[in-house]
Amino acid sequence: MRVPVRAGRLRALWDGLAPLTAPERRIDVVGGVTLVILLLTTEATWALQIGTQVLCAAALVDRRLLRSAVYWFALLAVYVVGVSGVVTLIDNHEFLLGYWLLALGLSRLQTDSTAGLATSARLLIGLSFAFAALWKGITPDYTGGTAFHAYLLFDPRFVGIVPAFTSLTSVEAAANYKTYETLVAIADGAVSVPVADVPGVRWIALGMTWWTLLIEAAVALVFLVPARSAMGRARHVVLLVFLFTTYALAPVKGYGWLLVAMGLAGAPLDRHRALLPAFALAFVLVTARSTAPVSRILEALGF
Amino acid sequence: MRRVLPFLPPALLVLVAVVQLGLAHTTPLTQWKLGGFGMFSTSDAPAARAFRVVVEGEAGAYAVPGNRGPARTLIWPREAVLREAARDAVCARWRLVPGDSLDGLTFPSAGWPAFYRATTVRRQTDVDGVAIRAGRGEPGAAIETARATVIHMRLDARADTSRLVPRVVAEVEVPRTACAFL
Repeated sequence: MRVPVRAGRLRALWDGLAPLTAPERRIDVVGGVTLVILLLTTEATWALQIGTQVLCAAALVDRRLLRSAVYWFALLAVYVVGVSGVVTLIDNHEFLLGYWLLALGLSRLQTDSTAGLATSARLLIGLSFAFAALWKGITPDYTGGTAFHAYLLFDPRFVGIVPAFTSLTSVEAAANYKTYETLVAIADGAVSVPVADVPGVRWIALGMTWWTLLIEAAVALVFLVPARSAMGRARHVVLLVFLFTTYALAPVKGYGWLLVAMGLAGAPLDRHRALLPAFALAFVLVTARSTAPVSRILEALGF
Repeated sequence: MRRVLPFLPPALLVLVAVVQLGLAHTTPLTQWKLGGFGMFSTSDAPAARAFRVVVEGEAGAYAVPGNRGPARTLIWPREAVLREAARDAVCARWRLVPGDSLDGLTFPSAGWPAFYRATTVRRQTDVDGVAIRAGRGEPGAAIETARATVIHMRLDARADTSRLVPRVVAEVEVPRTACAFL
């Protein structure tokens, strides 16, 4: 008896979401996610915080603002002023967010705004992944596996993986973090110290190294080939594979959310009904992985 | 004209990323930053970098305590910034004070600080910096040079034992003769 009830609920949920898949509603979905990113992940400069809060509140009051080029250029102006003093400090996804705001504004000047925004989104994703893969491919520290080996041993974002999958104990892993912090605090160019390590860490690091390079190169390829080619049509699936495999391990919500927003901008949501729930699930995964209580639970379980 | 509009943001991305590629290859800019999408491509991340200033003279070499440097210095340790930090240090008067600059740091194990002290205690004696002009022959003139250094704590993974090994990313040395009051 329960199955029909659940199916009914799912149908009701879908009926609620279905109107959002229409091309003319795309800006509501994409614009809404972009505003969330602006509110929750950007630098804490006063100009940016006040400016984005005022403009986001205005869009909540009147949703038609999301269809105005002036609105997105105003957000872009606030964003550029806000990050201009900290440009060397901001992360790469914050550069990408700036290009994305420009794309949103320019798309409203075009005859077919949805198609124009989809083109910008496709190229922004493809190019950012192409440069990410290029940097990894030309850096011996990366291709040799040392970079991921170091993240696994010393980067708090990857805490829990090593004790869960190798013979290195939690105590040894914690001692490695402490050693690393202490050496950075001392900053003595003449001191080197041994750290706890086992062969399993290197194997995991090599696996993560080549999987990351492979999936990033694949995303770059499918987003940069012609959109109507067979390979190009698979781009949304490849992006979702990247989102689900990467953000299950790495709590990096700013980049994850932005990829969801740009992925939604170019996805054929009206033709493939599974795409909207899939991107929504990716958004939830990225959010959950970056939320402290969930992160702590996953870390306790060894993820 | 409107047909080119969707291509402007991607073109801007390429322009910034190419400039960043060049800067990261020709200067000590970390490849993690400045819009080149080099994050997670090297262990030489800003958080893996450290900055310090060491003053040297007849009595030895002393790290200037409490000088971790701003994040910008770690991300992009340009020569001018390091030179200014070294110049500030070499032109100040220094006074040795009792104590150990390792006080206040927590070590992972009891044996570790002993190991560290055994190899570097001569260079880690604490000093107290007072920014007073000092001429030749006055207290503090024994300081001859100052070095501002940014290092990267690199993992040297070997089959038998893995080590954290410092690698100098950028370094500038300024002699005391560079001080304006001399």
